[in-house]
Amino acid sequence: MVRRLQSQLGLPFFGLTSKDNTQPLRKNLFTLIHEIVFHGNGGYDFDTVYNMPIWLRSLVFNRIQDFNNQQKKSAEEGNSESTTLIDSDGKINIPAFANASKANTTIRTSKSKR
Amino acid sequence: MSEIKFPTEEIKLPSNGLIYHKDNPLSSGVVEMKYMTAREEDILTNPNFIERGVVLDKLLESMIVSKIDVKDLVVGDKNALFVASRILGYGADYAFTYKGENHNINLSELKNKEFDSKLLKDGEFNSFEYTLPSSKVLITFKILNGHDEYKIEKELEGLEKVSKANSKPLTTRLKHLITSVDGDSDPKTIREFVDNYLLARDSRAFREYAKSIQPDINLTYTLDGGEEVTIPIGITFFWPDFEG
Repeated sequence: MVRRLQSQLGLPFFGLTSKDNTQPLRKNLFTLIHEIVFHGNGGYDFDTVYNMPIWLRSLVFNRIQDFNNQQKKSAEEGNSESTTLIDSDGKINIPAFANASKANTTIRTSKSKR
Repeated sequence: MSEIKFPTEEIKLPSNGLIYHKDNPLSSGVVEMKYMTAREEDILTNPNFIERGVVLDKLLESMIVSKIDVKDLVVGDKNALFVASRILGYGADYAFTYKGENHNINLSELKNKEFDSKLLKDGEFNSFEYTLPSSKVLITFKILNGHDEYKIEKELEGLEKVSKANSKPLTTRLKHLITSVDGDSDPKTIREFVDNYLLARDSRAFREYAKSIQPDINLTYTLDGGEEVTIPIGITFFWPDFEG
């Protein structure tokens, strides 16, 4: 039997009256804890996060998320700037090849002046 | 793992502790509470607690650091602790919808109702006097706490088992609220008085008086148009991100 709860405030208590409502909320809660423990680089164990004030837990989660997003962004930017001398079709990337040759020439020139 | 200590907050009770026995720690008028954690969120979503109707008491038991019995708390003090626990969990900003319009309030701006300790019967705690306006009968009454609420609930459950039509929540509550009739504190006298002699207009006047004097947190809010409403406590009170 599912009871309709009355709060001491004289109003129905925030509607959490069945498993249908509570299960997604519980899943979100424990997923969040898992994310902090899993992505926290070993800095947090389950008990610590479980007993952390909500505001602190949110802060930690957001900082980890920001850090990971930044890492991802940096990695993506690094990938887009990198060039290969031979592309995936096996053809020579002429501009990249020319740039690489110039760089080598410059080094040799500076050494030869000494 | 060693237990991690987080800061706590002292919450002032609307009753200032004046209606508790001096031996009760609640008589100090303050309760120490910790910040809400996943442990409390776990309690709030526990289907078993919700079905048994104990979820609110379990929440307070978990958050209160002071050595008190939660069932000793009177309703108004408990209300103040619920609001405090919401603030300690998710902050003071609370959004609600009233007549299709969205409103945002700051819960920390809610004030406690002034409790007039002069109304307490001399030399006693949690005992008040009232003369019924029509019958002029002098009664004494108390403000109900968690123990009383439990007894009322059990009595109502018992009455419902006998017959659903027999369930009388209003008179049952009055029988627990009133502690004496014309100086007679015999429970049998009180029950007989409520069942047979208490006039409807006296009953109404008494309930309104009892409500007006009981310590509580003031949950009324004035809308932009000047209308005063009681702040609705919806699902977002404890789950601000809930999307129903």
